[in-house]
Amino acid sequence: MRQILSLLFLLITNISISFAQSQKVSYYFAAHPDDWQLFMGVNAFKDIAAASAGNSKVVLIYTTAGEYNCYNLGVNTPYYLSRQAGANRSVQFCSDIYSPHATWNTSIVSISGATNHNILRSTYKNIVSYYLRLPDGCFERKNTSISKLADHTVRSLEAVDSSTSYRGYEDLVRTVINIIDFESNAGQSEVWINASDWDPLTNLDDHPDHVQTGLLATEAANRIDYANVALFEGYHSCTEASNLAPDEIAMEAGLQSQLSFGLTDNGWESEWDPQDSCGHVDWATRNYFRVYSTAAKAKVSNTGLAINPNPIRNTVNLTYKIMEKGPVSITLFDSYGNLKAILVNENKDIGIYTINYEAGMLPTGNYIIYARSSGNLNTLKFMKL
Amino acid sequence: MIGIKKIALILLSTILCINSYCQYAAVSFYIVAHPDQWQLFMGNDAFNDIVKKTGNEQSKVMLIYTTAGDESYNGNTPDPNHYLAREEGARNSVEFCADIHGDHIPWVLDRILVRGHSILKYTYKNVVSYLLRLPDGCNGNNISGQSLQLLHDSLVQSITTVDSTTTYSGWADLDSTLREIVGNEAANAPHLYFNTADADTATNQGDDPDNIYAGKLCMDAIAGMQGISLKLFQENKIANLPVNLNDKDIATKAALLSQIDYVRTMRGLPTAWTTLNLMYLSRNYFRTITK
Repeated sequence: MRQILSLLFLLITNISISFAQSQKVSYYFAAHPDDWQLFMGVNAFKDIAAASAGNSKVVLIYTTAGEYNCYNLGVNTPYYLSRQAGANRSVQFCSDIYSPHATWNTSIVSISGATNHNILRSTYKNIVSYYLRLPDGCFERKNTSISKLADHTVRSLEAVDSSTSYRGYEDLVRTVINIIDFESNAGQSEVWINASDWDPLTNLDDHPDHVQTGLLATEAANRIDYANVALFEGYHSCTEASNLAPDEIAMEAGLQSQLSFGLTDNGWESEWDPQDSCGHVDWATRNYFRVYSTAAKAKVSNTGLAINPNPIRNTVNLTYKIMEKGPVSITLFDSYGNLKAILVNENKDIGIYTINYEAGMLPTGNYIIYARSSGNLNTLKFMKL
Repeated sequence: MIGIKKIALILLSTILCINSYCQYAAVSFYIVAHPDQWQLFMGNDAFNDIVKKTGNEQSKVMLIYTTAGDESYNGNTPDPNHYLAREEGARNSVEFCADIHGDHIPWVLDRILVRGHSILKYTYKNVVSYLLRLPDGCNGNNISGQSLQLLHDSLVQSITTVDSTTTYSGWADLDSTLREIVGNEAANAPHLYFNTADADTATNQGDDPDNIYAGKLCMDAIAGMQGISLKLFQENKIANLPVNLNDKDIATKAALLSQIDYVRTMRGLPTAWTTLNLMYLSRNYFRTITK
């Protein structure tokens, strides 16, 4: 019902929904305003090119404001606006190669999660940007961060511009799902979700905001069940060999150039650092990703996590499959994002396991189980009668 | 502490540099025909020069654009929107490089008189640009009836800027004007570097005549100068030569082209992000002469 209300709101506020007939929608989840250019630039460039021709759509979802208020520098409000300006320049640069210059349309839209959220939404031709403006968690994982919201260290998280507050991680997940549902016409389009790889085995030592945003995107994809997911390496990629052709390097560099200009034009430091041995220019010359799941495969992978019975009244049997030895975490949340139980939190060998959980004390309602193991995140919904 | 050091540097540079007649340790000149030429063909040298020199009060970079780059292929009067967009793109390229060091600052815009000719001069930190705004020769088609090539070959007796601010009465007048600009801006700096298109058409085949004749103009203007280093760049033909730049150098040239293209497309001009221009980004061919 909330989703329907939100969609009505969008219609009333005269937001263009001319993309409803799009054949493909590509989502780029970026923790910070420069992430998609640096780590997913080639894919994004090609997708924006196609969208600019009018046959598809790109949706950029920026989870944090990227205000980089990490070292007691004070509240650098203009900094995140400068990064946002740079990100918009990147979009416009790329899009205008393939179709005539147009005007930006920007408005505040209301998207529901557990509660309604006012979110800044900009459109440029067929490229849509959502700026959630959550606090930059910094590499040190500040308390006001998506990571801390996800692990329930904090109960809520407010946008840096105070436009909204998310009451629990589940609220954020549901908000993102509703954005995806709306922009892709509830699965009527081919959907690709691109985000940072959250698996430390393939994406070592990445920024916690990147990792958590990747988890958020994957979780949303798993639940909507119609998305393909590609996961990209982040900081670590600079230690790997350059793997781009000259024209692809040009794409990423062209995007990054605009981002840097947005910063310096507003008085902030440039991000163009060719002298550094592992800096932005190195990232712009590499692009490593894996296809985590396709829409078909996502359904198959979810069968690794099974519950019986469903709906449940008292005892429930949970079966899960471990494909690789390592740490396993299985947690149970209610639909409002409240942690109800930690079912498993230990190293496991390869194998199939079953646990019994006494759920009789759970209130009636919908619940979600998250199973994390090396390289995999599975979710499963069930109903308690 | 940083503030005291910065103030001391500003005072020192003010003492050393009054207007353009300051004593620089090194000056690098880029003498080109069009607003995108140094980025496409000399981009890595120019980037490094601007970055190094804006971080060093003792050095500067001179960008001298001979034509407006109006590309008046339709034969109509040059469209100011067209050449102003290209000029703005060139300025953004400069800013992109120059702002890697130090704070963003406003541009200083002057019109100066050189041998009686009114010439546009833009200054951004230690990067000085002269815009002569002569008519674009349109790749040898000389549609406006005036071009550097026609002037050099005495097929026209004079050439007037596209904004009608001045007229040069022959190649010698233009040569003398450029010579004076170089002399003023070099200001006895002990190290002078010149970068331009290779005017030898046997080495630099197939280049735009505007580029070739900007190269010839440069060679004429510095004739007789000693103790200088000269880089002569091959241009259009490099698209057919092997890729010879590393990834970071390709990225740098792409970053410069991105700045040009952003303004072009925003102002309604066709994109410069073309297959041919992208081929230039990964290649850099030149010869060096020391006199």
